[in-house]
Amino acid sequence: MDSASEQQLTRLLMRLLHGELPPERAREFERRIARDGEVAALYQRLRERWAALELPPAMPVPEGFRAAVVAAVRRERDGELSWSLAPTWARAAAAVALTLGLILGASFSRIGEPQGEPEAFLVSEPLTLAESYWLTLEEGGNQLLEGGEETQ
Amino acid sequence: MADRVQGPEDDPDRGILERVAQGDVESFAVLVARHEQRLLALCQRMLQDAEEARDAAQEVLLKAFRKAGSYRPKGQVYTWLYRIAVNHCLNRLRRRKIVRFVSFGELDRPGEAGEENAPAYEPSAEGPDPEAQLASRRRWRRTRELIDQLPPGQRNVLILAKFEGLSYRRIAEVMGITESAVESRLFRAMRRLTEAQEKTD
Repeated sequence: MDSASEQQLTRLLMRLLHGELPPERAREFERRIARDGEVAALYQRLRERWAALELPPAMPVPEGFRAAVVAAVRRERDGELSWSLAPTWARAAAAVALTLGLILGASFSRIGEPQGEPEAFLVSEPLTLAESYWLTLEEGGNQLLEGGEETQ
Repeated sequence: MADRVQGPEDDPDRGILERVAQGDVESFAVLVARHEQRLLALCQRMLQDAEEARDAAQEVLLKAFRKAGSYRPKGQVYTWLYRIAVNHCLNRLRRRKIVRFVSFGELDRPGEAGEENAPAYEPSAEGPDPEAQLASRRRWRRTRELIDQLPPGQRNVLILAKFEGLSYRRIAEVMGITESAVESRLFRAMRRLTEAQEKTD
């Protein structure tokens, strides 16, 4: 049997296996399978491969699933938009609007900023408790060395 | 596998969906009750993660509520729901792929999970025999790994055919492709799976 006719035969056998052949055609094929060992072997292999495909049984409907879906629909119908269930386009539009808002907000906030001495706006990192302690000690020490009053 | 093909006119969900389109939440609850199990199972099989599947199924049902007004009866309502679910899961898988790419593949792939990284829901199987349970878990993991290697189009067709039991016609409706495309994708999926199995055997 050449490759093209084997392909054609396989397709027909798959149709037979899946119950897709009209009854008359199916009976005709079953007769052919009964008398032709090669066709019978091919059909057997197809059946085995098809049967070997196994997946676990479908999960049962989780508790509260229906109630959650119906509640979400009710909220939507009543005009309360549930963002977690909103259509993708709506969420995308909201994200774009938010981004644009942030960009515009950042641009406007720069208007009126002093132009010179940018370092004046640098905020130093907040000191940790230990750093404050050592700084106080150092300042006190310096003042003592310089003969000033001890800082409290 | 071929399911009984019904037209939209004898679909019991059609009237329910019409009421949902008018904002009737009670009818929506009925629709959820009728399809939550199948949608959860589909999301779980596509995403291979119980937690994510629950979120996805919830989002799918909310989308269905929002889109109910635009539903045009061409097929069954559940086919329409499946289509929303398949597309939604595909988007989630794409997003997951992007996240994985951005994080340089550091995230675990559920299909590659080891014993300690098993998906959240993996029930015990085949009674109390620990060996049988272990064998089942191995087969499930193997199938996940194999399915994970398939391109999305083939993977979805295979999941809908094998695990959802949909006919070629229904799969074609859900995926928006022809029946012969369904057949081709299934054939190619099976060929790839066979090659992958032969490599590891």
